[in-house]
Amino acid sequence: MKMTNLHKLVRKINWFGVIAGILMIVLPFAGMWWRFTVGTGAIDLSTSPFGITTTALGQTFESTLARYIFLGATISIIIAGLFMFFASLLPEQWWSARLMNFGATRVFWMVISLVMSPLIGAYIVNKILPGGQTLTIYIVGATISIVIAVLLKYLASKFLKKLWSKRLMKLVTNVLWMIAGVFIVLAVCVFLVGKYLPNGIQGLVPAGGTLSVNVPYVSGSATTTFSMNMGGGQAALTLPISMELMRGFALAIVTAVFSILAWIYHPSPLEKEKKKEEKKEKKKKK
Amino acid sequence: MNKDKILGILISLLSILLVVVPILAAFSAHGWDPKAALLGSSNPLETQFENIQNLDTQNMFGNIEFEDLSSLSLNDLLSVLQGRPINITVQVNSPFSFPITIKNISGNLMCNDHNIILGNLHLTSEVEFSAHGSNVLSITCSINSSEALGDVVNHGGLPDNIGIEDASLKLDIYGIIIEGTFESL
Repeated sequence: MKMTNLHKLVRKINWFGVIAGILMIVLPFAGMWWRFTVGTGAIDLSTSPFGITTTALGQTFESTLARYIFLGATISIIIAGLFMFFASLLPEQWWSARLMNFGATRVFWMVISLVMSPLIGAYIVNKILPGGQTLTIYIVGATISIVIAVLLKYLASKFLKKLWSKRLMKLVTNVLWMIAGVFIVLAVCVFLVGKYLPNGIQGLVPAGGTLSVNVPYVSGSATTTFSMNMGGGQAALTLPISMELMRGFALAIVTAVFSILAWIYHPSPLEKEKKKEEKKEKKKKK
Repeated sequence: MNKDKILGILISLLSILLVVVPILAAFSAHGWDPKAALLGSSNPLETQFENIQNLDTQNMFGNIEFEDLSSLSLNDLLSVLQGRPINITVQVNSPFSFPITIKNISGNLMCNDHNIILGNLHLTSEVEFSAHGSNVLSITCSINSSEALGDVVNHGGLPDNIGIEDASLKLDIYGIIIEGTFESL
């Protein structure tokens, strides 16, 4: 009898959530996610949503604001991990879905933000700052993303019945909204460059000088060069720039996958009530 | 209001507090000064640029050592020039508060009186300087072309008015390569 109860209890546990909860508690202490360096330490920046270390020409930067914000993020993810852990252990409790919703997509969005920020930054530097871009592609991109997001939301409300499919569609729709936001940001950048830098960033370089901006996308190496005339001579600056995704980021991806699976798999309060009602009806019939 | 809604409100409040409280605490810790909260009480990069602007270049160069060729007879001078390069060593005190490597110095030695290329000079090997450190630059000068030796003969010794043309200087600061080329010095 006891074994049967234990077996039932174990079967009810949301194991994805248990794993995700533990990983979320560990994640802030698993190291930095991404590193950006210029030269061999001229600028060295390592960051994750839980901390940042920056050195420039051997000097370390300290920002109280950044430290406190990262501390807030660390506490937030630990609480989210604990919530997810207990919500997954007792998925049928009335508070379970609320606790699960608190941090289920948190790591996913942290991963997306960390990838998108350097990606957008590099795209702006490499493609938009040199000038010559037109707004059309970005406006079309934003419009298509918004139309698809609205359409998916409408179709989901009409046709999707299962909770997991609704949650998955909600995530996809939010990603589409984010993509639309990215297109809008890029469109604004193209507009500003067109208005204030009609010749692109090259227009800022004095006559006779050249600027070849090349920044890697998220991970990799590239070299930016700048040269200018100096009286009877010329000066040239070569900046090797490198970016790399670090070990902490791999754990973040695993955590994000498990927490999304846990969230999709987790029963909602409505679903629990429906099941209870179904059981009651079955008993009545018997 | 049911307990589920109360929990929902509490969780939403927690989410907001975890963002707002750290920001307020950071500003409060620096007397609500946004710049100090963001960059701390001292900006190390600003200090570094101030150091570069106020470089102490007066004591940058120490002893310059080279062979005294003026006491040699013309024939001896010519045989020295034909036989081997001349080495010049310069004691340099780095005024920079960060390490720097001189990767290359090169140029052509010119007789300014007759506009003749006497030879060339180059840094024997790259030299590393620690922050505010000292080291010795070893420069090798080669004056052995027939045209250069002819000019030495014309002057009855090494020309007094020697200039440097097409000079170049290559520095490495934390992996950033700075290269300068100068038509004449």
